Amino acid sequence: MKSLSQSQMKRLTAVHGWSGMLLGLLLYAVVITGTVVVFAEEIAVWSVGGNRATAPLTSELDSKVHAAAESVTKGYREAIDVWSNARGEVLIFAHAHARNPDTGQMDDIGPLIRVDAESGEVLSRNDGFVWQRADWYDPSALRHFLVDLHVQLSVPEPWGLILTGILGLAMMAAGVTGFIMHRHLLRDLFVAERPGKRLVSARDRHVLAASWGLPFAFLLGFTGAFFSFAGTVALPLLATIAFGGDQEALVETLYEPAVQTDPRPQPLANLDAMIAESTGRAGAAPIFVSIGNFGRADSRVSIWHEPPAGSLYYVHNLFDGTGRFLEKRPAIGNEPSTASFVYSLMGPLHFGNFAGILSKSVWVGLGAAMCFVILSGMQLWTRRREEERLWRGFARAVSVVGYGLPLAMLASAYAFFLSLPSADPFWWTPAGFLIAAALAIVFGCAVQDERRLTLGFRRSLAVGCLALPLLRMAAGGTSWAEALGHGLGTVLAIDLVLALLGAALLLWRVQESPRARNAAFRPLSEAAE
Amino acid sequence: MPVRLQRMRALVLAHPIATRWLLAGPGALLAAVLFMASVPVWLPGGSAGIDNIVYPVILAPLFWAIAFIYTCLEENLPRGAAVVSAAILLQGLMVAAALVGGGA
Repeated sequence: MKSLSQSQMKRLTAVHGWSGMLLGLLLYAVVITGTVVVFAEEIAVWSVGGNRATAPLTSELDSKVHAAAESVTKGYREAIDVWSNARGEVLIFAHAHARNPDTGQMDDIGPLIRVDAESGEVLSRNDGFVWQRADWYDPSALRHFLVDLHVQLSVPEPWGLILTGILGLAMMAAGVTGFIMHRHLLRDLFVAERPGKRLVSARDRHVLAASWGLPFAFLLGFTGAFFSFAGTVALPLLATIAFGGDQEALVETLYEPAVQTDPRPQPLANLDAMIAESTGRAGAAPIFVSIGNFGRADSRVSIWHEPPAGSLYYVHNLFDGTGRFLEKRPAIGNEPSTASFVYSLMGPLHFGNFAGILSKSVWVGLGAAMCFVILSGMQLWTRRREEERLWRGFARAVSVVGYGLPLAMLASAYAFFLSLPSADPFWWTPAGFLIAAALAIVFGCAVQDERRLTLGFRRSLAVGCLALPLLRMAAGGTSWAEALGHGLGTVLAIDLVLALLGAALLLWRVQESPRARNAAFRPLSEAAE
Repeated sequence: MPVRLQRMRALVLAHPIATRWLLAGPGALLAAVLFMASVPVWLPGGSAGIDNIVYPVILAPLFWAIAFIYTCLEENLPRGAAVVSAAILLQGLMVAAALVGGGA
């Protein structure tokens, strides 16, 4: 790195340190929840007892969609979206657009019909502004809560998204300042930490983890900021500049194929045939179907597929109402472009789902490393200032949040399963989180000895992880025998991960804190470097 | 140097910490937002008609990072203030022209 002047280094150190301190706890919350929800789909399947349906969107969808379309008023056939939930049930949402009185924004409104994938039996029907009612479309309140916590820290829109967007920028800034400050980046990637529990050893660990995770930190901060700001700030602003404030026109330009209006009645061709052809072309399973102008001559059917093996990108095939294949659509816009290519990278790079379980697992590992970097950075800062009462208090807050947040997330899972039989899991899951968070804070305030505090948190986490699979089964979830018999690998895998985590936490020895050791031996004060 | 500019330079040098906070905080943020808003004015839509929408949305966080790091590292504070102010002014004028003209 080009050498910086003393004043530049001092400024960067201040920016790196203070941004980390002021935003570190919130950033930790975003990163640890993000680490967990890399496996959001798997958590949803696990929490609802497994998905027994094989390819719900390929088994006689045509009859189900036609039956649903006949049961709704004509105005709601403007768009019919079809997808499957974590239980493998088919969801059919026939909708129009109207201004939502609660938000003041244009929103989708219509009946959401939940159908059994095999029998076609209608399981439920709910009418209204569907996206405001997660309990209508998401069987897993746990997945919904954890994702919401990550995306917007459970703060109402748009402020939660703006907050997480700012945290994404902070992560980028911390990564870049850390990189510029780092005099020996390449060397430090391969040099082990200095032994012992001195401040320099702690710094070595922070630097080592941060160095290896640097590209990941920048990438996730950047893509996270993009996702947070795109809908809240960017697109409304660009709609004003480029489309005179018409957000619908902007969305149509970006996402909807150009169609000449033709309202003449025309029955929709067989949807199953279209899906089969689309699947053959894409080389991957369908995940979402959208029918525009059902029953009209200008009808269009969009079918989205998982990324095929070896590809990063979802496949979007377009058919007309007669079943004729029209084109493979780019991720954005009406024809392939570099902009569409770059846009389509943002999702896979942020979610880590470009190579299935393998890439997701790497993303989880890197996310956990980032959590360590954030916490260790704050601990370094407070250790250097441990003579001041304020920073000793903040160090305690770091410990409480560091352990308390995963404990509260675990508690939300407990609240979810306990509320399943007769209460509202969408209320109790976040309530469980808040109750556990409050208890963690009380515990952190009540217990003065750091070693006892750490031990208490780790044991609670360990017991929580070990007992959760048992509670899941006791609450009516799939047993291990059933999971094995039906090939429900996700259920078994997550139970196993919880068991291993619990065991690891029980075995993790608590080291005596440096401050306690210092108090006992009164060593000379040491420089950080 | 004109008197007004000399006074502004003196003001910046008299309050270096506040100036740097302003530049790195609201300054970099405003520059990034105006960058995003001004790109549709000058960037063509491209073959798919979307370049002027997609690129500013994707690049805005990067532009912010560049502006932020620049304002942290720039040793010559009056120059840093001039660069950021010029970026804000130029991009702001483009946005204003687009709004007055009824959109890009």
